[in-house]
Amino acid sequence: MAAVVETFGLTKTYTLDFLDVEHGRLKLRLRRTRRQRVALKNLSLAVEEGEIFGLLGPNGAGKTTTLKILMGIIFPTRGSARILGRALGDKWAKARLGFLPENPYFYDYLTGREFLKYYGQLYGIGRRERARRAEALLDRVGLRDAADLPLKGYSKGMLQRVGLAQALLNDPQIVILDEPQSGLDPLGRKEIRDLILQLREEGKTVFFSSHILSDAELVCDRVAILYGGELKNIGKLTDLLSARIREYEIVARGVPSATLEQWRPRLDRLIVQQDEAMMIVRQEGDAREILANLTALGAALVSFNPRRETLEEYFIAQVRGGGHG
Amino acid sequence: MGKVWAIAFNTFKEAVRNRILYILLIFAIVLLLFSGVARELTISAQDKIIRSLGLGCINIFGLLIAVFVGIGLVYNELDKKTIYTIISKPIDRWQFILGKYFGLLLTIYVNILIMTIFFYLSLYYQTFTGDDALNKFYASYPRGETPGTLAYLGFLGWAVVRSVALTLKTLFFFPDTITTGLQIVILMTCIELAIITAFAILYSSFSSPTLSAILTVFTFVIGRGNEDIIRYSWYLQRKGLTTTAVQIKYYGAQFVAHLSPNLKIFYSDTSYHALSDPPVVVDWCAIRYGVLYSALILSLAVLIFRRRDFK
Amino acid sequence: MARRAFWVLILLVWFAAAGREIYRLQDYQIGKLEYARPYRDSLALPQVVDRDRADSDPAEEELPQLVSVMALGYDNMVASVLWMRVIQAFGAKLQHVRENPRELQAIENLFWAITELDPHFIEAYKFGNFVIGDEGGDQQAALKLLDRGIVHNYKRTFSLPYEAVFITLHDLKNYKMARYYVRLAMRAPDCPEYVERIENYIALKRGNYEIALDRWVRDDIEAALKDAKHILVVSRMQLNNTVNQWHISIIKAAMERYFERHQDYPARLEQLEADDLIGQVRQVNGPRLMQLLNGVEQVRMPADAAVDVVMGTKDRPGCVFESNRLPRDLLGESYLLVDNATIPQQQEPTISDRLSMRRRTEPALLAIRRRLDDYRKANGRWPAAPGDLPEMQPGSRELLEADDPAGWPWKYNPATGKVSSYVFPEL
Repeated sequence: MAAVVETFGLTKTYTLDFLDVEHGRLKLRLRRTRRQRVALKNLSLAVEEGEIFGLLGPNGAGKTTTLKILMGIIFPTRGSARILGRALGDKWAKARLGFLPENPYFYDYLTGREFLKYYGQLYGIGRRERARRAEALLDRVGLRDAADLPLKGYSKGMLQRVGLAQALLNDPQIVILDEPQSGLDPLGRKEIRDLILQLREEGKTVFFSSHILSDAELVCDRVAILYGGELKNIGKLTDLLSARIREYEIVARGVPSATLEQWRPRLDRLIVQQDEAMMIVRQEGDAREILANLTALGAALVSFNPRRETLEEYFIAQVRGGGHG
Repeated sequence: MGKVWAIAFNTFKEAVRNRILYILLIFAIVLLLFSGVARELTISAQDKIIRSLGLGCINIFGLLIAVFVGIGLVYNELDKKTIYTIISKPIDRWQFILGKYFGLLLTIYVNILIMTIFFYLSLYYQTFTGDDALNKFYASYPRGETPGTLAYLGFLGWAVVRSVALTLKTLFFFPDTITTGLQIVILMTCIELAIITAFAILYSSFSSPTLSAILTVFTFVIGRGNEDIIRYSWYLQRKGLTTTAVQIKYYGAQFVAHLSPNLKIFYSDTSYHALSDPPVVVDWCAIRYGVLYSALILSLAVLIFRRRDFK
Repeated sequence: MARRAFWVLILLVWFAAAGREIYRLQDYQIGKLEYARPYRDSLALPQVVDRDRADSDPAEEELPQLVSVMALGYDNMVASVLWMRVIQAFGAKLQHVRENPRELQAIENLFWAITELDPHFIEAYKFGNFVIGDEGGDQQAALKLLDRGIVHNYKRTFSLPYEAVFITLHDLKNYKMARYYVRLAMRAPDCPEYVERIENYIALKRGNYEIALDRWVRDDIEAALKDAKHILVVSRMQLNNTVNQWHISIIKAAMERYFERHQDYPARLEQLEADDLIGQVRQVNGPRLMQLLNGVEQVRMPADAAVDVVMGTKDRPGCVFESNRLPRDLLGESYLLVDNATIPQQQEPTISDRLSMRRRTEPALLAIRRRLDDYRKANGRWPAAPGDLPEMQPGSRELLEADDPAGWPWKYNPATGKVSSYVFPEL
């Protein structure tokens, strides 16, 4: 499949201001001593068509910088990128993009409907089509009743939703989201996840950045891990995370404590809460043995969960280790 | 282009929400109506007082609106990050700047229109309650009788009604001899404000609101004092360019004067204010100057804006 | 790459073209500066500050040029505000202006500031002239202000030279300047017609009696043509006045020469006549002469002395001296006849020509008058037309039906029986 978003050695270096206040004193920086902050170093990645791509990393890793460069908000110091085969800033490409920034903020005094119609104007959509799409999108994101309220009175979740609506206004081929789940409650996060999956069903490419790795694990096809401005790793989730089962989690009820004490040395972790006991073992044999014994003991099995390596664990290993895993 | 107009209209709507606009507008209207009262303070030349005060008011408040509303325009977009979603649309950065400019210009012109309406009202009111009208009113009563309060109030009310009617008539392009020349002066004010607005947008595209306000006011003052700076340099030349200090002053003055806009070009023929002369002709030279200068400054603003990172 | 170069080129061309056009327009405007407001040297402030002015209002002591720079283009508005200020200041300092020259200087500075800002503000010059000249007493400074106003408003209004006329005429007594200002005033389009007659008065004051007389005669003719009764009254009175002044000047000069010869003033006018200092005197009106000869001490001419000069009164015309140094025309109710046959059209008929015309026509007209009166006595009413009169002298009828000798048509009023024309308003 063709790559819809490609970056080639994208680098962004911020040079601190010529005149600045440091340690409470005005400091004049000459060229030699001006400190530079490297936000992005030599980033090269490619997003394939029709996939959900996650740009992951902790805060300050350079995710937002990458997205801003792609959208033309800031300019790279070195390197280039292409969207749908066009250079950055190309209007044809932008017409097929949808963008939702982090913590979106829009014009306070416009109502939701007016806001979407205004942005439709910026896309160059005709008047009747604008109105139609505004209504459709308001329905889709669930803002029908708040459509006539000014954006000033919107909660964060509603702002996020209207932001999504404006990102989808032109029925884009690629949807770029910057931290779409930031500040949302679990219900909101689920809605975002569902929406992203829905977009893939429609054949769109979704490129988003996040630091909530669990959510990313649930929806992404491929991920790229950014740390300190550098690309640490990139690939399919299944490729990155080993398929090996790392541990088994068994939750049982009614296990006598004597048995638990007996088993304790072989368990990785044991958490007892009133009647229930959660046991984590690493070996498969141990797990089988415990399961077999449970029925003999007359205990009830609440849950049995073989866990593979999570993205979070992988990520932390990557970051601590620093290199390909 | 449609997108420039979309941004312009949105900017206009946003500016209209600005509370400072209403404060300035109320102030301007109060001053304009006051000028109708100011004639009581003079023994003659009431006509001239109202005209010059009114036109000056319209000029000053147009300038204040340009500065106070214009400085925050681009900066607020960047500060509140509303610009992120706009830039990500298929729209050029120059379209954005132009949209902001025309939106601000639209706000200013609408406000000037409102102020002009009140200005005409006070002008017409003055002609209907001026000395000769009052004398005719008193003369219409037989000798020895004075009109009662009610009759006098009726006279004033009738003057108000006629002022409103004449103002509406003037607005719908049926010119009155009183206001024709004034229209041209107000037109010149509008062109001058176009230049100042362009400067406001230019400064606002790269500096904070306070700094842009200071810079715009500086530009305005230097622009208005352009001719005096030139005369000063001629004075130095007449005295003789002997010492280096004087030479620096001379060339510095010439440089500043040629670099800054000559805002007095719009007011070179203000003799109309003094007498009820036939109206002045439209100064096409000045209009050309104004349009070209604003276009130049706007292109500069666009150039600066093009490669700017929006943090 | 090429595309980028193309855009850079376009941008450079645009900046160059726009910059050049702007520079050109700006230079054009600056070029106009040379001729505008030549009295301003705005930012060149003098280096010396007067430190003695400690206790005066500094704002009013500042140089007017500063105000024009600081007004920043809002000249007219600041001028209006200063105008309101100056009116208030005048009201407040009314008593002090005459005593304290510093107050006067302060107010004068205000006026100069206002006129600096708006040189076309006519009221400011007029009021300034009033305050500085009439109230403050400094007529020279007021005249300077008016001069500035005239320069900036040349041919705009008559009122400023008009005010200057009064200053020069009454206070400075400089009649040549007064005549200059009157002519300046007449160049303005809104000049009323009475301003012209000030020049007659000036001519009289300067001693050009013949010119004054000639001008009054011309004005009288025009007034009769336009049927402007008020001007007729004035012109008649002024004609009498002019003649009287002329006569007085001649008599005074004759008296001085008599004194040189005889070391004494004459007791009677015949003594002057005997000494061949003035011509033949016909009639005398004593008290009137005494009134007019104020300059001569009464002790030299006894109060009850009979004098042989008649001066013009309301009903009687002025006299004629036979000497050729004196006016030969008779200036009474009707005068100045022109004989169209003998005098070419371009030439203005002289005073003496008009007199001779009148002399020729008068007997016939008197005859017609007599006939009209007789008709009235006989029939109890005036005839419907003068042609109805029977037994007119030969030539009278032609006289009536033709125009009068000056070329004006006769008018007959059947209700009052008056025959009149332009030069014979009433017979």
